[in-house]
Amino acid sequence: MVALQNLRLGGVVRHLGFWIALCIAPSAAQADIVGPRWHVTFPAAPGGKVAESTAVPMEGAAMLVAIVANGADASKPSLAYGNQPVATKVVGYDPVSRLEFLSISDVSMHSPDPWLREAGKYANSDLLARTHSGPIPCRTAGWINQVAGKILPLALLRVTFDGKVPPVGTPLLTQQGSVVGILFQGAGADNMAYAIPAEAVHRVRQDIGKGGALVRGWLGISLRADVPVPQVVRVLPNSPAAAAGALPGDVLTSIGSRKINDYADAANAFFYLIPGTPVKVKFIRGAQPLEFTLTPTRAAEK
Amino acid sequence: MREERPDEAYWQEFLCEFHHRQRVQAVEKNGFSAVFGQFSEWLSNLGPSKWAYSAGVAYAALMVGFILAPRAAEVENQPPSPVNYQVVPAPAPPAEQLNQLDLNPSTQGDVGEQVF
Repeated sequence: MVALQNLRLGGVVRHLGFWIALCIAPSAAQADIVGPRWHVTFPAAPGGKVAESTAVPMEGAAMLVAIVANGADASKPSLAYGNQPVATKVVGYDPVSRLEFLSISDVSMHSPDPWLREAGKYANSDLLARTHSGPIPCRTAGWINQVAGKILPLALLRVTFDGKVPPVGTPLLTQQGSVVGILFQGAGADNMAYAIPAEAVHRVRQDIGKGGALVRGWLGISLRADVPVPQVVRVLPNSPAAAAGALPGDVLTSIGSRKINDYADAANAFFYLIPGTPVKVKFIRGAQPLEFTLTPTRAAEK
Repeated sequence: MREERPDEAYWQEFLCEFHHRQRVQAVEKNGFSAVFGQFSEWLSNLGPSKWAYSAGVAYAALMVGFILAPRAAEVENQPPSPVNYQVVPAPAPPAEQLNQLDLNPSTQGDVGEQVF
């Protein structure tokens, strides 16, 4: 009888343990995705306004990345971890992408999420935005490379949220917790926004880490922004394109792994050129497909 | 003194002849009046049934007037004919190349040829 009671008691305890574990498990999983606690405030530039951004830890060195909105002074960020101010230094700022990289001296505070190398696989996926109050479901809805007739220097991800758009700089994560991109700006509607893809952050960081600024690659060809067909207008003398044999009238079809369908695609692909790193560029001349390997040089700063 | 007085038949014949001459004179004078006079005479000779004939003639005249009265011109709805006019949309502003990620509507980019 006693043995039977012990058996029943043990079963009840096991059942209780199962239900307690079931209740705790989701909370524990969500606890990993709550945050981020890093927050940056940028003072107003002359004639501008104060801007705020979430900062996202990068892999590798103790470095964070944040978005500097137009009108803010990128040179004087105030970093905080929760409510606690944290000393930081500006590693570099890229005015093209508006990405700013900050270093922190206390390495123990640095706990980055894994970053994807490229976001393309998740351009139409269900993701999670990691915010202070918990994860917010969102969904990427493809790429956007021009807004209201203005062609962007790099393509952004279009993101829709179930609710209100979270703060600028909020990281967007896969269901497995890898960073796909960071929120750049709201898109007008309450639940829509644009995000900078992970590859753009890596591209900027690569140069920022070396010299504090993004160095654009240059091939020496010109295209017309108002002509959708990515047709070469001029080949500049003494340029990588001229050396390879590109001619005016050639139509771009791909740069590296990026397919080129129109001018905006080309503008996006040019953003990722790295000076000194050869890239395969495909053209069509008449009906003949051509492939050149071009090595971009440093673009003159505008 | 001898008084000669024609007999009664003479006077009747005289009166008849007088009326006949009057009618002939009237016919020669005006065609319409003559017709009207004949019609009036014919009508007066009808006796009591003249009112019935008058009413019938009046009704017939009314109906003839109604039928022959000019009607309002019938307006036909013409099928719409295509107009040789094409709405030309306003020319789109030239595409601008932004040098920075700045989605502010007032931000202006570069137009035309871009060197990469």
